[in-house]
Amino acid sequence: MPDSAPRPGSSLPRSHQEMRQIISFYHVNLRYGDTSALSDVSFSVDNGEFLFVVGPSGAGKSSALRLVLMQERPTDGQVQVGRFLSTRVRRKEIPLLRREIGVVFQDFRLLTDRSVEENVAFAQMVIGVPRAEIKRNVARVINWVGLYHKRNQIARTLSGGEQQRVAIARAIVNQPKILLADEPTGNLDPEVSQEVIDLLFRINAAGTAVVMSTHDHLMVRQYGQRVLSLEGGRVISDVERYRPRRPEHARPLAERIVRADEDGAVARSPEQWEGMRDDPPAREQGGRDA
Amino acid sequence: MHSTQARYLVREGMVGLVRRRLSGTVAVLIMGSSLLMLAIFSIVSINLDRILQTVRGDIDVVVYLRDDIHEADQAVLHEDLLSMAGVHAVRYVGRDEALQRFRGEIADDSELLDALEANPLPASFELSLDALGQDAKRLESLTGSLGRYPGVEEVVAEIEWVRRLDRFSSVFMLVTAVIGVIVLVSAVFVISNTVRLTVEESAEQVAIMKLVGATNAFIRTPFVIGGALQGAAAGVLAMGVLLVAGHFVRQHIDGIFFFGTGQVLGFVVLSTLLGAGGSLVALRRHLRL
Repeated sequence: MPDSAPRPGSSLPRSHQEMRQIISFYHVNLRYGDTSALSDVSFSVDNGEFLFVVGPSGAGKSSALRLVLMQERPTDGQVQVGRFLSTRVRRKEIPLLRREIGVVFQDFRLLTDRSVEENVAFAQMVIGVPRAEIKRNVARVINWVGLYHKRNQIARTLSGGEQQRVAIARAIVNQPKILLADEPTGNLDPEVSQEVIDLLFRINAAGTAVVMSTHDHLMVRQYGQRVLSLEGGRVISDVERYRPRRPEHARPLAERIVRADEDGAVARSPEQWEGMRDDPPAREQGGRDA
Repeated sequence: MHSTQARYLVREGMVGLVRRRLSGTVAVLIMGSSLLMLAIFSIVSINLDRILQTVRGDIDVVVYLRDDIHEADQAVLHEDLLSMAGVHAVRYVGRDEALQRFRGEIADDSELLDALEANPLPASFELSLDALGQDAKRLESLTGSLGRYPGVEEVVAEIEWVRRLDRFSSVFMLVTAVIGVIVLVSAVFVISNTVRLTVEESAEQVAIMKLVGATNAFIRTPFVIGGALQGAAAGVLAMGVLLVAGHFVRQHIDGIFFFGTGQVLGFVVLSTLLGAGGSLVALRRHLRL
């Protein structure tokens, strides 16, 4: 590990780093009894960055996201999210931390018996936004995810893609600095998945850091974004992908679907996978701020 | 706490009840019947205890006097009896009165008495005892000392009966206490489990609230309000049934002890607290993450 890796505890990141990095994992271990969910995981996410976390199920993606939400604390090491340190944060502060994070899940986790509007307003109500303001904000984000015409529908009557868009609206209505998306496309068909990923890119373009986990290696490769690969609880690669000439998410939808089909239809042997993993330029773990 | 939030919390508490109306109704019924059991048990045991007290109140000591007792001795005895600890009241029954009473008791066969030439019945002092005097040991020493007075023929006290009553009373109190604890514990257990079921139904909602950064206090409030309302409803239901039943029972049994306004209110308050407290305890598990 390079010497320049930020050391936990003893010295908090300097102020410019604090500004830049919104999430940092410092040599994080997470164990449940004898089983290890994460081993010596270090990486950081900048403000406004887009990061894919890729790995098969059980690789530790969800554990990492739970650590960011501080639903868990590391067994060893430290997680820093904004101004919150896992080693120092008090229980009472955790709700404040979570107000800076929006979360989207594979299974949407909506209040299925309430309307679109109520689901989104819920997130604002919880943090005590005045009623008039809630109305305004909710209308704005629902419109933004394209569901304004369905704002009074009960969540469970919506399609999967629509439900995920409601979840996204709920995640961003409080204008979080971070959006975590845990396999957000896992329950959606490819076309709808694309719409959801588009939304995430748009959110990212507006300045929110987005961390999206997925098990789909092929899918993430087409976007030219940074990809952090986990396997067996370890970081096996952290790759700053080539930036495409045109940002991938700015291409017309139809073109992207074709490309996705071409790319995704090719079955690869494991050897080919191995080769692709270390596509240049690889980031040095933890050393990118040196 | 913003007013928007406060309004939301109260509304949410009630909306939650409407939303979970089926399980909520079942919960109220279960809680209500547990409370009813508890109340009925209290009433029955209080009434049994009262009956025991009354039985004790009937225990008398009778001091029979010799026919040749000196007037002075009798007066001294009377004085002493009046000042004795444990003696509640003293009544002198003359020979004529005793005969009169006996005549009344055997009623139809009273002509048998006419065959008698003289009155065979002695005069006596009838003592009624207070709680102190009803203790078996004290009663024994009382009868012992009375027997030594001059002019006293015999002292009759139902010591054996009192001893048995004492034993019965202590067993009764023990059994009541044990059953009472069991009934109370099972009522609390049933109620807390019922409340937990309604909370479990909302586990998903709680998880979502936690994710969007709700404080624990904020999450708790609607549940506590809902739980309290449920508890209050169960209490009112149980007391309603009890009062209606009590109305009929009292038509048939006189002087039965029954809950007054204080006890009824107390029960409703108790069940309200149980509902609210049960919700708090049930939520704790979900608030940890």
